[in-house]
Amino acid sequence: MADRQGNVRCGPTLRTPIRCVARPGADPLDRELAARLNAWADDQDADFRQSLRPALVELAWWLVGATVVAIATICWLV
Amino acid sequence: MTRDSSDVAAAAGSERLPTLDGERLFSRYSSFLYTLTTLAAAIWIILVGGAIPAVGDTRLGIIGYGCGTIVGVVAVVLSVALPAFRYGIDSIDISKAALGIRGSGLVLMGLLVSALGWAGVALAMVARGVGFLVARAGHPGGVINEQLVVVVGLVLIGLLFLLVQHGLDVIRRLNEFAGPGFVILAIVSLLLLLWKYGPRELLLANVPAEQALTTDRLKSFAYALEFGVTLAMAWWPYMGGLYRFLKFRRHAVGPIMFGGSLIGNAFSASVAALAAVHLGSPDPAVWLIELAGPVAGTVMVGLVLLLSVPAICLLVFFVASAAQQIRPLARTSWNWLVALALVPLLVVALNTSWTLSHVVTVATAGSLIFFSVCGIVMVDYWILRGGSIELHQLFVAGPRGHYWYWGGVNWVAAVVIATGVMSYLLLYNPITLEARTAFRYVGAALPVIAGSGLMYYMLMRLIAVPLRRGGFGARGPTESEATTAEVTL
Repeated sequence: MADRQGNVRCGPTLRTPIRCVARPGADPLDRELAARLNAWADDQDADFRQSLRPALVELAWWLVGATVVAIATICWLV
Repeated sequence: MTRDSSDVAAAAGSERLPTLDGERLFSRYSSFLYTLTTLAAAIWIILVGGAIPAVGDTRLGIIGYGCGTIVGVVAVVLSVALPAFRYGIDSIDISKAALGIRGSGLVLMGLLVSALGWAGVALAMVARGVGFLVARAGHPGGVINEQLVVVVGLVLIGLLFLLVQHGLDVIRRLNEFAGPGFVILAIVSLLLLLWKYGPRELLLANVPAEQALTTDRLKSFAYALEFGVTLAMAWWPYMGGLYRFLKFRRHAVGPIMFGGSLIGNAFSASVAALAAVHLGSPDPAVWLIELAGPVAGTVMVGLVLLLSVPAICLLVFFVASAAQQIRPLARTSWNWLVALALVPLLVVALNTSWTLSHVVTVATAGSLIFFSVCGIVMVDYWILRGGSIELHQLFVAGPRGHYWYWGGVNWVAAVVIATGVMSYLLLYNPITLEARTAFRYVGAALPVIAGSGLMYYMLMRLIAVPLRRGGFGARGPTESEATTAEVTL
């Protein structure tokens, strides 16, 4: 299953999920990497896997606030 | 993760592996707030703040700097911090999707130059600051003992090794004292300034016109905005390294905006700006003693120097972590990596005066690429890829990997970065602070970030997407196709 850009996602959301493996004869660190990537893909309920939309909305408010202050400053002090 | 796998990771360079849920250290709002405040409010912010009055109008400078900081930090959070939080990887790994597996080496170079440069500057300032305090203890006009400065620098390097070898958790605990400590010092300094000058005189003082960068008030505002955006952008390479350890989404914006932007950065810089314009020197060692008197001032300078050590620790931590991107170092033990990261600082300890007069230029030059990189990675992640990258593909080297592009480099991004750096230098020289006429409207950094993002989007749509490079147009696996990916560090 691919998203609308055609990117393939790793993990159980796929009908045929991609599992990460280390190359044959790889050292423990590469095997650990593969295990972590699979664990990340399986960890669907973790907070960091949820939608980032609330953070985007919060950032938008900060941006709007800074822009308003900048424009007001230019209008009144410049 | 099992205990065994954690031990494997800890034994050999675990800092590059994606962070899992149980390893995310910043689980409290306050701990992330304090760490970001410490990184923002360290000794360099006092120097930057001391430069704000040079824009000509101190009030305009403070407001413009604050606005620039917020806008810049929003761009950094969007571009690198939120993806790093989601995937548990640092800024360099995040940049691989846009720049290519090998192309991200450019970000690595920028990070090493900028982090080592600023760590060197801070180390030199702390060592010379201690030398200054000792010289003053004898008599006010005392000369700094250069041998003592070298000894202090070497002792600091030993201290840095002892602290950073224990990893981010120890630094995070130190920051729980350093962050609030900096804020208290800034508040005390502001109260002393208010007591000494009163609110009206405090806010309306400016540098003499002949010392100002410009008498054009719109350009003054643009300079201040530029300082704010530039300092925020210097965080780009580090933010991934912190956000990969953030546990909860609800802490992704508040701590950086309040701690990293408003309190640690804009407020601390504003206090330094007001002190510099009234007390005639941007050097905190000079104006703190002038402001608080010889005894209290000396104690405050000592505290500023002491509280800067955790920020230097963070920079050394980022350098040691980033060094693991270099293949031969990926499997080097953490203690050796920290020792290696500290070697350039040995040179700094032996040449503190030279460092302060030359290395700021090098660190600034090393940061120039991050304006374009910020725009590129933001557009690549949020617009071209719809807020999703293939984590495992960041660790697939070779032509089969989705982020291999052309020989491991996305040359489209490389062209955009080169164009961005040249455009920036055409508009504004960050060393001499000379600026073209167009600079007065919105500075140089923001147009370069936006222009790089736009140019990258158009070129990728025209070149990389039709050619199916960078994972664009890759089909999902069918039942008959292989469903495993071979990954390596």
